[in-house]
Amino acid sequence: MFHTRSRQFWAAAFAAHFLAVGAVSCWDIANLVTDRRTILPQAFVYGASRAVQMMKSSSPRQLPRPNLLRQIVIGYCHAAGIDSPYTFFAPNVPESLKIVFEIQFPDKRVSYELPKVQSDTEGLRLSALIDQAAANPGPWREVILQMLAAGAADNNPEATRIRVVVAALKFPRPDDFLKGSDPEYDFVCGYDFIPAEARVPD
Amino acid sequence: MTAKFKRLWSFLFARQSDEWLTFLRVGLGLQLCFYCLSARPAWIAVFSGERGGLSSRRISEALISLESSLIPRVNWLLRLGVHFGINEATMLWIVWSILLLSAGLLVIGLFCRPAAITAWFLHLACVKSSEVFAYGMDLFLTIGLFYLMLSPLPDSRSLEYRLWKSRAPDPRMVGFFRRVLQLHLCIIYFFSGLAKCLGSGWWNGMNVWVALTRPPFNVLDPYLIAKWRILLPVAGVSICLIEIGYPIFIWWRRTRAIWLGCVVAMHAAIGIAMGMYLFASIMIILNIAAFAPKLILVRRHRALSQARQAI
Repeated sequence: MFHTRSRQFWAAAFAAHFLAVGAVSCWDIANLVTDRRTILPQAFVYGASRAVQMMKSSSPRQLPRPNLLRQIVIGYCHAAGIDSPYTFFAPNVPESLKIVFEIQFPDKRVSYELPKVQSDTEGLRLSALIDQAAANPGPWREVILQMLAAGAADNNPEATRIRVVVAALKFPRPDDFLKGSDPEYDFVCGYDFIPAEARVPD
Repeated sequence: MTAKFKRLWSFLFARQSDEWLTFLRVGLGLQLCFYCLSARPAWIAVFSGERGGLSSRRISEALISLESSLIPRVNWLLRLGVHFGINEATMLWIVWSILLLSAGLLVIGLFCRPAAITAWFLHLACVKSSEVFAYGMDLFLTIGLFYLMLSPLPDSRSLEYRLWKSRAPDPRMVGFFRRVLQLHLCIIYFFSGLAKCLGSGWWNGMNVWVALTRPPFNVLDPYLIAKWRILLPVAGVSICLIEIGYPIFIWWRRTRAIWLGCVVAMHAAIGIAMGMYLFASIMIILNIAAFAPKLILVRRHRALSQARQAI
């Protein structure tokens, strides 16, 4: 009897868990189609956008932030690692982004630095962060670039201004590469950061 | 209806031995050790709050607070440290040490359940408090540790089981948690494969080229890849087929070993060619724990009986 009850509990938990996994994954695919990032024809976009709307309206994120149900469902999804979809490098691999710090000193000297990483894993993490920040223009991108600039300011305490430049690396196609074409960089965005110590008080 | 329900029930709660759980426990313990060691050089820089609003921990924790206030975070532990008069840096090293200790306990199989819960909680807190720097490996390690923590521990090959002769885990619950891991992997690969199939770049191999030449994944010499460019579409289509075909061919007994071999080879190739060693190792651990040990054991059993017959 105890075993049956226990199994019934686990089966119910299993159903709820996989409902969440399925919902997050379906929502992500429908979102990719709605954003016209796939090879699917226009006819699919309308259906996908309706699906996105439907899923959005039934998502716990629609509940007010302090709502206990919302807090529990989203908290559980994060705790179980089922909060994000699994579409890595899909539908296409994003372009590679590079960050350069242009550091200005009080004597008008300018030096250039790349973000410093202490291990390969840190390099991967930084790359993921830059990709994520560049893909989301607006306040989020600014916060992340400010955070990275603050790191550069820590290493250069005398700096009066740090300009963060984000550029996209355009690697030539294999045929062009063999013919000698070099990679090119396209400007994506820039952000000026004045370290707290260098700010002129009002 | 009842027959179908019974079939589903016996599929979910099939009796299974716990070799897979041993593999998962040891594999995740080792993975967590490597996570701790790889994160060590930047541990304080990532979790320090010295930069105020611009510290990566504060930004990550502000982000996850918007999601839910119930998600574990490093700040909870730091506040606990302040309560006992421990400063931030010391507390961060205590967290790192406990995480490494729990990983070690998982590897040797001592205090399995408390070690699994501690490892899951601390790893989750660290990952969520460095959310801005998170990547795929963190997500899969969280999934693995979550299932390990809930699974019937200690398994019969753990040191704890041998020392204290604990009660053997219920084989049906052992089977249930393996099913959960198996089904989750099927969903992961299906959606990952589906999303790739919907991108043009995987069919002509351009995505493989871009992935192998974009920093920081550009481990191989681009001249070498460009010379072998004829293989790029083959690699792209193979990745799509392996991933989208996973939920079908991994269940079919005849193709299980082939598909498992293909998936493990794909992750090993990603690890070597793109420098994503930790990501490759967590995916291989989860796959082998979910689908392989029985295969290996069956082969070993067959080899043993053949040897006995020969003798």
